[in-house]
Amino acid sequence: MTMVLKPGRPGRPRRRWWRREGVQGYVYISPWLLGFLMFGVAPLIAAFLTSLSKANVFRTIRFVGLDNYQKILTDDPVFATIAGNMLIYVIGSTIISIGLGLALALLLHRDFRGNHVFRTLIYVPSLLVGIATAYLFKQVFQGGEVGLANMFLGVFGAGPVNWLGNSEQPWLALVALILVNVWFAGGTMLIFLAGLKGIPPAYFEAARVDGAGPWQMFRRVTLPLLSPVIVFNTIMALIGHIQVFETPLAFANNGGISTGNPLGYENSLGTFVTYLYVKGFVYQDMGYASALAFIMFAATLVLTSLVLWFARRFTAYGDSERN
Amino acid sequence: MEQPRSRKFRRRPGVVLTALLLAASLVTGACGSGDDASDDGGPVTISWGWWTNTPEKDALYRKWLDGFEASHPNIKIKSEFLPWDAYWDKVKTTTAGGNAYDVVGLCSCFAASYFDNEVFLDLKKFDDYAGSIARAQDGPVGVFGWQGKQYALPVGVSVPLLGYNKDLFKAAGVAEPDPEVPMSFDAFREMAKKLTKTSGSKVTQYALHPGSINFWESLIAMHGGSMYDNFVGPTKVTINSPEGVAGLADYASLFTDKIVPPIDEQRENQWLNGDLDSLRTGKVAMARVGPWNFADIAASSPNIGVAPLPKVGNELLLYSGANGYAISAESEHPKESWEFLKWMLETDNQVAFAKFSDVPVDGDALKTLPEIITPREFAPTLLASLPAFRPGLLTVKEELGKNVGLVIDDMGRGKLTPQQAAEKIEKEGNALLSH
Repeated sequence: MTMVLKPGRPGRPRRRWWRREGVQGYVYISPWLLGFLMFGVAPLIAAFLTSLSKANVFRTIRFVGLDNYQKILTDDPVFATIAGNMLIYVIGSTIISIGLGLALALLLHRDFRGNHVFRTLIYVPSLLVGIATAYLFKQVFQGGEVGLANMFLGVFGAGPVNWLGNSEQPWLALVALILVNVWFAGGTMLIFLAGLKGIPPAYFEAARVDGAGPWQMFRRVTLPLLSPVIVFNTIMALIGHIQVFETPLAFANNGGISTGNPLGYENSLGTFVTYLYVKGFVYQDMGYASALAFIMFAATLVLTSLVLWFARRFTAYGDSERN
Repeated sequence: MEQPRSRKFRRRPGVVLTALLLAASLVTGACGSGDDASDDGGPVTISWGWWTNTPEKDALYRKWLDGFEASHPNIKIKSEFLPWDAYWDKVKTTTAGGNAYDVVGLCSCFAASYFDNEVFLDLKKFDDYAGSIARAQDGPVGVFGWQGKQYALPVGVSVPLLGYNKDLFKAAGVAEPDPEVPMSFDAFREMAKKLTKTSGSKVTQYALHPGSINFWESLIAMHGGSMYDNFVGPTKVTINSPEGVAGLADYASLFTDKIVPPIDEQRENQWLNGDLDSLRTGKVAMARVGPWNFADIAASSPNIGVAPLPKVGNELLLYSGANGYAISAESEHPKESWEFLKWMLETDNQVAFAKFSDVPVDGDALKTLPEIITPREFAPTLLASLPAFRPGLLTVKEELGKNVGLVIDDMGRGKLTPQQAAEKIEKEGNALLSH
């Protein structure tokens, strides 16, 4: 018997398949890749299929196509109220996160004795777990004269305000929810501080030599060079605020004779995620809740794209300078 | 000369192997089982869940379970007590995930959706089912039946009573209510008005704990109406009738007469505490209590007395729930779990249970109630109220009860009249039930 040896491809040494660099690369990342497929992609697909079904927490009952999406977008007054809440909350909270974070960073960027202590003191609260902060602020916004917010108002002769259980002015609860973000400004402050450290002092020296005042230096030097950081912080803050969950849920538990509306009085404290939670886990409509999740994802994507589109006109990246 | 990075990797089969092992462990880990079953004839451990009341009561509960372990040496109970909300979250998610407790503690108030989705075993399939429930009262057993199947068995019945702070009654110069004969709602209201105290424009003491007496369903029924066509699996809300409106009007009067705090002020701590805790603050004169509180009252609150809740007309009616146990359909120890359910319904064990918790469902155990209850003087009140028990709402439409509560809240705020509230509850409720 004659054995015929096939010639290898000219100029390319034959390798066993598992020795190929590409295959080995996939093997090296396979633990992460499998985890991602199992715990990321698979649940995502399952959630999408669930969103096309009538399902409760225990089982899928039947396929309903796009009915859940149609109902949410055209025939759900609660969702409409919540979308309005979210618009106000996200805008208000992002202004606080970015505005206050930037202001604090500018203050603490200055060289003065003890500024590291202040940085730490302002940053550490943002590390607290969400639900702990939620219950902390529930005490702060306690009605009557016992809440810290009302004590503060009392110093100026105002109040007391029924922040969280006010059926006459339910919007006050949303204001309280927005004000909670003051607590977390340390997070954005830290990133702004890092951005400020990255601006070469020579730019400020040059501006000073040219006679620029503090405002002009901020507007013409700091702000443009910090713009990538501002965009990053804005997008991260937006995404974080869209996902707000623990605080509105804790605030909405009004202790009434019913078990309370987890979305607040007349849904005034409802957010996308609390509504999703209520639909999915309280009322057991998992199909509807899954559809809400995808709509929430779409809203986040649109908002993020808008910010990026808007920021492109005002953001100065190092690359463009080099070009 | 330094080798190219790719060649370095290729000469490290150990790295590749480690990566593959990690990936494999991820897969096998995800598919792993927490099974603790014993195949060697040793004791089998069944998991068991209930909601916590107080540490003292939990300890008494655990002692009761120890009695089961003593009589069944081959079965151990791994018990878990969780706060009310956390317990139901856990039951819901673990049941959906297929790893629920073997023996699941249930309140009839939340049972319907579990029954409807058949996540528990149908207990009728056990050969000795009929004999096991022979002495149990039909009413509580029926609460846990669903469409011809029996998904759980009751361990006890929650009969609500009116608890009161004797010191506050004495301070107000109000005579303590009769322990056996329910007073009329009108008499109750007049008495309660004297127990609300003000200092200037501020109310410093309310007569009644707001979360405790949500018995508008009972008031409506005692007026001759009904909230639903059927409390178990309702198909229609029937509150919008003259009797229904009259019941709601009685309930609304608790707010207009300042017997309970306004809804929007109820988040203040002294009004928010649990029923028994609110009585202990000394700022609330009356609140709902029940046999589940008796052990705590006996241990540390001798100044708390009990009376039947008020009645309208000639008959006292109390819509409440039963508590019981189901066996998870995914349980790996259904036989051992069934042994526990049978054990809990035995007369002696029902008597032991009644000493620290709910009213027993076993007929013989019930007869011993006057002798076993602590404090002993509460027994006449409990026995007088027991015939008034009616099973509360059992429906898969969980939004129904919550929506009713929200409308009632608005009525309490004075935003809706009883007539408007009845119309709204019926309209929204029927829309929900028709879906």
